[in-house]
Parts: sequence; C-alpha cells; structure tokens
Amino acid sequence: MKSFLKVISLNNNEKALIQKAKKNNREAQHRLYELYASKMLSVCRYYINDLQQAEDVMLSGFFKVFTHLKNYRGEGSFEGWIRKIMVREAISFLRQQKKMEISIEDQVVKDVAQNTSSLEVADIQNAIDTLPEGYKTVFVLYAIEGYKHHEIAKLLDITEGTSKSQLFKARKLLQGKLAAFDKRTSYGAK
Amino acid sequence: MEQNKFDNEIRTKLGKRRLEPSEGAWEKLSQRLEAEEGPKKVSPILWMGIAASLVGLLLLVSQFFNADSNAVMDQNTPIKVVKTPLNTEVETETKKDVPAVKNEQDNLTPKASLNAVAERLVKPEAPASNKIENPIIIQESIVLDESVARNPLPGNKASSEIADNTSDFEAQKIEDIVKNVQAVADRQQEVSDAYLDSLFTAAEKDIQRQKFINKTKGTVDADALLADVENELDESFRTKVFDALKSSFNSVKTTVANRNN
Repeated sequence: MKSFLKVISLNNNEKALIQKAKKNNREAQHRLYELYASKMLSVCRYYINDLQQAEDVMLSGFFKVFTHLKNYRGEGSFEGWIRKIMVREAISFLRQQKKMEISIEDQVVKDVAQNTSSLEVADIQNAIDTLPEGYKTVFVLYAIEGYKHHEIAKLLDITEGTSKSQLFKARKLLQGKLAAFDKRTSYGAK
Repeated sequence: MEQNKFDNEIRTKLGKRRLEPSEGAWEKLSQRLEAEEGPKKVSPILWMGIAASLVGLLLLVSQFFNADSNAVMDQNTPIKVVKTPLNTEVETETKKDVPAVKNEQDNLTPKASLNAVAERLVKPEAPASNKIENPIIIQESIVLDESVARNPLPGNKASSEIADNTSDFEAQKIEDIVKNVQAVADRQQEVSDAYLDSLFTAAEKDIQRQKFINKTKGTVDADALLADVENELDESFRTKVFDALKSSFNSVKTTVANRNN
C-alpha cells in the first residue's frame, strides 16, 4: 500500500515538473533530467559502443525532449516518450556515422541454447557490441525495446522480412558469443 | 519459447542497468537550452509599463519647459504692466488734445485753426508708435530708451536727427498745402478734389524723396528701421492730411465767407 502511494506521489510530482518544464523552468528541467538521465544513457549505450558518444546522443535527446515538451500531451508514460526520442536520436547518430548498414550476408550461426543467468550485464553488453550494426540495432529494438517488426522496418527503412531475418541471425550470433563468454569465465573461475 | 526466454533475460538484465552521465553533462545541455531560448522575452505588460513611463516623462519635460517659458513671459509681464499706464496716459493726453483743438477751432481765426490742425497732424505719430501690441518689442524699446538716456549713442543721435528732419519736412509740406488751399479760398474759388489730389501727390513724392535722401546720407540704424516700419504701419501721410483737411475745410470756408461778407 505504501509503495502504491509512493508511485502516485511520484507521478503527481512528475506531472508538476513537466508542466513547469514546459514553461522553460530550468530547475524543473534539471529535476527531470536527473530522474531519467542514467536510464536514458543506458538506452543510448545499447546502440552506441562508445560511452562518450552515447552521452552526447543522450544530451541531444534531452535537448529535443525539452524543446518539444509542448508536444507531449500526457498520453502514455513520460519515460516511454523520452525513450522513443532517445532511440530515434541514436539511430540518427548511427546513420550520420554511416554505421547503420544492414548486412545481407549470412554469418555462420550455430544453433546454441544459451542460459544468460550466470552472465554479467557488462558481458551481455560486450557481446551485443560485437554484433554487426544492423543485427545489433534490430535485436535491441525487438528484444529489449519491444518494437514490432513493422515498426522496425519503418524506423530503419527496411522490409519486415529483413527485420525478421536480421533478428534471427542476431539472436543466434549473440547466443554463440555469450556461450563463448560463459565458457571462458567458467574456465577462468575454475 | 527459448528465444523469448533468452530475449527476456537480456531485457531484464540490461533494463536494470544505470549509467551515470559525466559531471558537466547537465551544464552542456543547459547552455544549449539557453542558446535556443535566446534573450528572455519581455512580457507585453512590461512593454506597456515602459511606454507609459516614457509618455509620463515626456509630459513632465514638456511641463517643465512650458513653466520656463511662462516664467520668461512673467518677467516680461511687469514691464508690460508698467507700460500700460503710460499708454493710457498718452491716450488720455491725446483724447484731451482733441477736444482742445476742437475748442480752439471754434474760437481761432482760420489761419490759427489751420496751424492747430497741422500741429495735430504731426503730433499723433508719437503715441501711435507706442501702441504696438508685442510686449517684447516694447521692452526692447524701453531698454534702448533707457540706455540712450544713460549713454546717448551717435547712431541713435543720427537716427533721431533723421526722424526730426523728416517730421520737420512733413510739417513744412503740410503748411504749404494749407497755404495753397487758403490762397484758393481767399480767391473765393472752390477747392476741387483733383486739385487737392495733385497737391497731396506732389507733397507725398517730395516727402518720400526727402526720406530717401536722409536714408542714403545717414547710416543704417536699428531704431531708424524700426521707426520706418512703424511709420508704414500708420496711416499714410496723404490719408491723414486728407482727413484733417476734410474735417476742417468746411469751417475754414465758412470763416472766409463770413469775413468777405
């Protein structure tokens, strides 16, 4: 009951902060930034290997959040709205860097059933970082962000089939990489 | 199902991750936001306030300057007030003079009455010049008069001499006209308007010539110019003489007729 009341209180506080931030109240903007910056930097880091570049993208995302805050009508969660902006900003960055290339070459993927419970977050991120950009982006969008294939296709300007095949291959490749990580760490632990 | 499990495990683990931004990150973002917003917009109410205060300031300044000009006028006013009684005195004097002349006309001989008329025609020029309405000019003339009284200047002297010469010449001309008219009356001939006109025209021309000669001889002086303008403002010499003669001609004619009888 206490946690439920706390959530309601936070929600009310967030609404008040958003209203103030819409009027360019810098203090309210700072509070909102503090609330979501660490989470959004993590989101940007899914797509961008370099942490500093990820931070720059996150700041650009927040800049767009605050300059377009009047467009937020309160429909859906505020976090979800910010998250969408961050994802678009990250993809835009990758396009500018010409890293956003969807590879149609099939990579040799072994069908490996992988249990990730024993892996650390950093290992998972490292495994994701090693994926080709196209595989990585489609996998993160689908598996972590929860986008549908038609949404991914529209966002990345590819076909749904390409999105599905990229996901399939990304998943297999990642499982193989994680299995290799797991073997190495298990061996090292022993 | 295994694929969903794999995805969920990765989502759960990465979803819990938090990466703290660097220390200067917010400052960078804040500066970008400041630059985007630009200079803070001044509310319309503030603009209206500024405009109202400007209008108020202008009104105050205009009031101040008006007060100053009024003060200047106030400084002039006493002089005007002082001058007014003088004018009234002069006017009363002239008013007194007129009936006196009329009385004299009743009792004097035609010659004497003609002389009196001639004197009256010459004298009124002085009070007429004092009737200028502009107080500033009056003040200047007063100041000039006072300064002349203290330190008579040669230029003023010359101008007064010129004025005296002109008035003497005018008096002489009037006397000549009166003599001519009297001579015609003595011969019991009727004085026609054409004859009078010719006399006036000749006298006027002579006076103008005399004035011109005086001007060319003398130096240009502010007082002389002012007197010239004042003379222009007055009735013309011809009109004055004509009016005077018209008013006294009947009485002269009657007197001459009685004497002949």
